[in-house]
Amino acid sequence: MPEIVVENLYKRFGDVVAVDHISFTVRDGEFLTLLGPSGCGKSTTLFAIAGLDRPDSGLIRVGETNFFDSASGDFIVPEKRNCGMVFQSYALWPHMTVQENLAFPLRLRKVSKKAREQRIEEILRLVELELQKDRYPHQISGGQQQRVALGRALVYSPTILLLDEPLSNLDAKLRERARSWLKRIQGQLGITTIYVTHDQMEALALSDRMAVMQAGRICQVGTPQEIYSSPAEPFVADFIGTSNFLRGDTVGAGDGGTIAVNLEGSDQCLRIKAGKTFAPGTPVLISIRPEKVQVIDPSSGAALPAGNYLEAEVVDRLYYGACYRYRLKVDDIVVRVETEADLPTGTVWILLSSEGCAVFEADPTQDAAAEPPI
Amino acid sequence: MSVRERAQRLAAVGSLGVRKEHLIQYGVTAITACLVLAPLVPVVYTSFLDRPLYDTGGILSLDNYVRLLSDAEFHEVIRDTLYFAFLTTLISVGLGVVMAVVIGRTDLPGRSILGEIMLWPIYLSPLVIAFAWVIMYSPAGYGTLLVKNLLHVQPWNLYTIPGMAAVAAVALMPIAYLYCSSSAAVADPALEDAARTAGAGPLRILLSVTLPLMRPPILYSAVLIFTIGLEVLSIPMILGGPVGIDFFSSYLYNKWLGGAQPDYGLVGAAAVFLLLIVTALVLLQNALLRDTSRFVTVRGKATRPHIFRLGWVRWALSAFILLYVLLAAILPMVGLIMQAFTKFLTPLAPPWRFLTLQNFAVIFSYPAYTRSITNSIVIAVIGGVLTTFFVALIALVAHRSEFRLGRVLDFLAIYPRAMPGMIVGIGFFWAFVLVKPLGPIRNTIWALTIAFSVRYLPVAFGAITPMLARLGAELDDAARTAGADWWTTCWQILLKLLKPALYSSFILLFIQLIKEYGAAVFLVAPGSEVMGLTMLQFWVQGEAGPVAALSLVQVAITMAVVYGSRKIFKVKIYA
Repeated sequence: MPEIVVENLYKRFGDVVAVDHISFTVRDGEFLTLLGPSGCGKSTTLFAIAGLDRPDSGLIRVGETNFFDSASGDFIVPEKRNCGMVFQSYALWPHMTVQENLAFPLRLRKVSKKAREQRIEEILRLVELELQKDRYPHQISGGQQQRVALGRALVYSPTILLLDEPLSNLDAKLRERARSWLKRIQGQLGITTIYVTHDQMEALALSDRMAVMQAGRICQVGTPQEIYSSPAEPFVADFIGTSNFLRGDTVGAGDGGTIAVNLEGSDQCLRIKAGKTFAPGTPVLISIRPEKVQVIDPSSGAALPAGNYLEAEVVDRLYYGACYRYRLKVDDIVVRVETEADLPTGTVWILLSSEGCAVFEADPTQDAAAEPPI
Repeated sequence: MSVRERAQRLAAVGSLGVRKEHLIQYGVTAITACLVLAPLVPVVYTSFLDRPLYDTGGILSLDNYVRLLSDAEFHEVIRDTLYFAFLTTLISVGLGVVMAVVIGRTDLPGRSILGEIMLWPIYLSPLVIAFAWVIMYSPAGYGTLLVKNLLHVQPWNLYTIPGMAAVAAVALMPIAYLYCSSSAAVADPALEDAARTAGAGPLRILLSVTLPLMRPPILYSAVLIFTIGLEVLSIPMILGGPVGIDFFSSYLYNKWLGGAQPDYGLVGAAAVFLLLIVTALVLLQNALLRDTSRFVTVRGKATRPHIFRLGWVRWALSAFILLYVLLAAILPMVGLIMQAFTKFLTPLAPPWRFLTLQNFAVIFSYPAYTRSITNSIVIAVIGGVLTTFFVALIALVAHRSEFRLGRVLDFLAIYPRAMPGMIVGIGFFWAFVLVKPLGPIRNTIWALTIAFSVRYLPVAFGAITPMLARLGAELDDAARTAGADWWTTCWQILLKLLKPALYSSFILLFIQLIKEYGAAVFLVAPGSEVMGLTMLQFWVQGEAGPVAALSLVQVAITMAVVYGSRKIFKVKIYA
């Protein structure tokens, strides 16, 4: 299976830049997810790879073949790219049965009747739809339609597989099942796959690597673990999972890469390992996951561990079964915390361990830390 | 892997496919442009020429326009035409709105049947309706004489402009009814609920919310009806002829066919004049429709409009509508049937005393009559099929390809809406004279088929494009990624899914083509007669009986096709 290379891809619709000079590579057999909010350019990128949208400039190469190259003017029409694609709405042809939907691409490739039937049977077994082959799309359930769409995309052994939010029309339970099923099939076939979604859980669960996109550009590419634990930008920290954001100005550098931060909305000072150096007085944004915040009940008499703690008030809490979600206030700053501990009302200590935090230079024009919902 | 090899072979073949795609797209556009411009260019050209097109040495001048505008008769024609069109629009839109609200939104008894009956006149030629009305209500008509004998006064005079407008309004009211009722039926009830909770009573809601929201269909149908009022030929010919009232269309008709030597230049200038007015109206209509988001009442959520309860008034209203149907449609049709089956029709003696099949025998023994029936059917069937397919192609190229001239094509396909039938006829007359290779089809029914079809391109386009718009673009995308080129996608996926729209396009075209005669006036030749024109010509000669019989034949054919298609293809026409 070939790799997919996208270089400097650029596409605008009127005044709106949909895709702004993005580059990435999908390795042979890899499952890469393009993740981002709606309008971030992820679907445009996918459609450009499929050939359904013509980019303004850049390069798209699959294996040795240039699908699109603005430098040489190469553009291969979609029907000659041999991509398998699953659409958000599945796009099953309503006038054809399941079997006919699968047969159509094979007939276009002039596959003999016998080989065709054999191949269809093989694929129907793979997507577990042998019994539905003579049904029309409207006669089968949403989950089954989604599997037909995948079967149709795989039946002609495509070079690469492109998936455009294929699970977004399924209900929550079914989506979870379909997710692990999809992952299994992709692993079995080892086909190079690009998956587009706005659902972070889906991206985290499915991807070998994921690219987080915003406003036409890629913010970060990495494994799900990398993206979750060390977001490269506040946007990534905010979009993937939930994060607390603390604003402040650096006071000065301490020993061993620690910095001291005067928090905005509080007169407490935070000392933290930043991993990078900041000039004193730099406005910074510190993000931390709610489950990474340690909370200590002062009345428990526990010894305060060495580290960086802040005094906080418990505002309210919600019980989630496996854990509690608290809203705490460090002076004027609201901090969300997820913990199993049953805390008393009143004052607690919270500990921000350095490995759980990410420190960014703040963009003064952006206000990432609005009042968070619990 | 064999599939992979196949894919490569497919890729090799594909490079030819791209060229085929462009060939089709440019081809369709070129043919459409020729068909639409063929009648336009010569009409405009002749209007500036000082002698017939076929004479050499013509000089371009404004002379024709000067003559036209200084012609006192023309001034009168314009005044009468505008008055007639205005009155027709007023009556038919007024009636249409009332019927749409009363039938669509109230608990009127028998509303579904009445709704069906309201649409009947749309299947009939205005020509047939005019015959029927003359037979019943003209000064010497059956109904008029009946009333006159009873009251000993002349009760009404159909041969006046208001009388003519009444006939036209009956024929055209279904258009207003159709537009308004489809909008009334899908209006979001939340808008009315909002008014209700704000304290408005049913009548208040009707006047302040429901009717204002119907403004787009009202305006749209008003402009459409006004346009038709300007160009209708049957009514001035049949009702105006006896008393010398001329409208635009009959003026053109007389200037061309009336004198020994047709005044081509004058006809050209008058045609351009009409063309400009109608084009302006169509542009106005488009502009009116552009800013319609204020009136968006249909949201994704499926709802059902409320029914206004009328109380006892519903019986009175129902009786009123029945009376209208009886007087406007049923009685005249009864008159037409009596005329067809009797030797004389007079209120002085019961019609069964003169019962005869003679009129039908006449039709089937005169070749001119029989030929006009077969010709009309051939034109309607072949024109309907070819136009449907061609317009489907236009729609696919204009709306489902990356073709650069898609918008131009879209405009070309709907422009004939602004071309009155008679002008299409004049235009094609000249086009066939000028373009020598087209000579052989000039005096055949194929000339008529082409002209009629061009005139009704927008009808087919309107039947096909809404359904095309409802087919998600991802169906094409899926086919393209699966390996189908543009043409295969159109052929294997889109056209198959469009089947219901293609059927209704064909039926609509059939209904229009079988009753069309305006464009035939200038193109007809011995051997290529069509029903409408034959009826008109024989009527003018005073042959009421055979014309009535021929009218019934036309109505029977249309009804058979309309109801047959409902049963066989499940086609919903005007849904």
